[in-house]
Amino acid sequence: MPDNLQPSIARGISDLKETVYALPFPLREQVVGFARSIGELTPTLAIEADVAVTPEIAHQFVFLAGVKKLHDLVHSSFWTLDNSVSLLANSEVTSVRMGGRDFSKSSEAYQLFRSLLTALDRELAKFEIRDLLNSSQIELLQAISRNGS
Amino acid sequence: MGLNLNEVKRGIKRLITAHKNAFDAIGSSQTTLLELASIAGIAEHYKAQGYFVRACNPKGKPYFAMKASTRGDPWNFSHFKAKKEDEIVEIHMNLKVRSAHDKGIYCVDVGITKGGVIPTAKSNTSWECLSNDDLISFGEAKKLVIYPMLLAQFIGIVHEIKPLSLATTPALFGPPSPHLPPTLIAIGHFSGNARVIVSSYPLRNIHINIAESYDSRLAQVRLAKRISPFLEP
Repeated sequence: MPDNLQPSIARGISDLKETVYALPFPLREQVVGFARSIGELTPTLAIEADVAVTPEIAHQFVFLAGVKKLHDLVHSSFWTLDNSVSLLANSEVTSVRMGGRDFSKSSEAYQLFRSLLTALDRELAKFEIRDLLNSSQIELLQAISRNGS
Repeated sequence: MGLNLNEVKRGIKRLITAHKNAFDAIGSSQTTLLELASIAGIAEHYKAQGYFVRACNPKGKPYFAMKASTRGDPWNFSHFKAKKEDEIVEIHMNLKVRSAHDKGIYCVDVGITKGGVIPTAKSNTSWECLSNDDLISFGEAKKLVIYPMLLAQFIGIVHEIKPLSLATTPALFGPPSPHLPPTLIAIGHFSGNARVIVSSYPLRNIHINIAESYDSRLAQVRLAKRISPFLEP
């Protein structure tokens, strides 16, 4: 790891931790843990992306990698539920419960997930990064580099 | 992309606070969602293989009752029944099965069994677990990336439960089996050199299935881009 990148990567992780501190522990750990692993991979990814990574690019990249993980977790959770319940409906299953929790399309859980997904997409679109978060890590790094040059 | 990270930070913090209940629900249900997705996908697989598949709910429960842990008896939870010609297959969640080698009992996330071998009601004789001979196959769900040691651990599980899958010469003649081999279902992608390991399995006569990026696979089934999350489109 180049010496000039380590402090910026650490700053990106710190900013991310401050941003997501209110998430429940399992999600917070997944988001920050993923960003840490991306931080370690940054020099390798820079070579693959053919990008000269400056400290500021590294800072933004690690932070946004964490935001991307958060985005992926929310999307994956909603669409896994939606796809599962929809496919089960093909076998005439219209209501799904685990203990006292209802996961049907009419359930509070389903509506909560859908509202969150809509709100997150809207928030990220405000900053013009929603579409970028659907790209690969390489493409994200290239986009940040283009923006900074 | 004129990015102001401070504004992004503020916006996401506000969102997390405003949607605390939703994030709490996601945090506490990720494993459950994956297990639900696993049984839904396996049901779809058997439909794709020409089976008629229907859900069987326990008496008095008009909904699909998920079994999300080792606790409880299978007759108190829902399962799928898949029928093709004279063959009946059942698909159960969190099913206790006997080891292939000893008296040990394991709980598989999804058990694919012969038809009629699991009691549908409590009886005077206690039911401890499914006999290993009555287990056709099984699935294990992990909300992890697929890394080499996870693959080694899964091979160990298969060794204990369905060891013949680790020494199977592919049939030269006749149609392939409609049944899923022991399957690892994971939300994550391959990491490290895990893909290289998996690509060697056929040469080693290891007949298991590794279903990585499972959420994407299920989405493709929903969008009719593939007929089963476990068969290549």
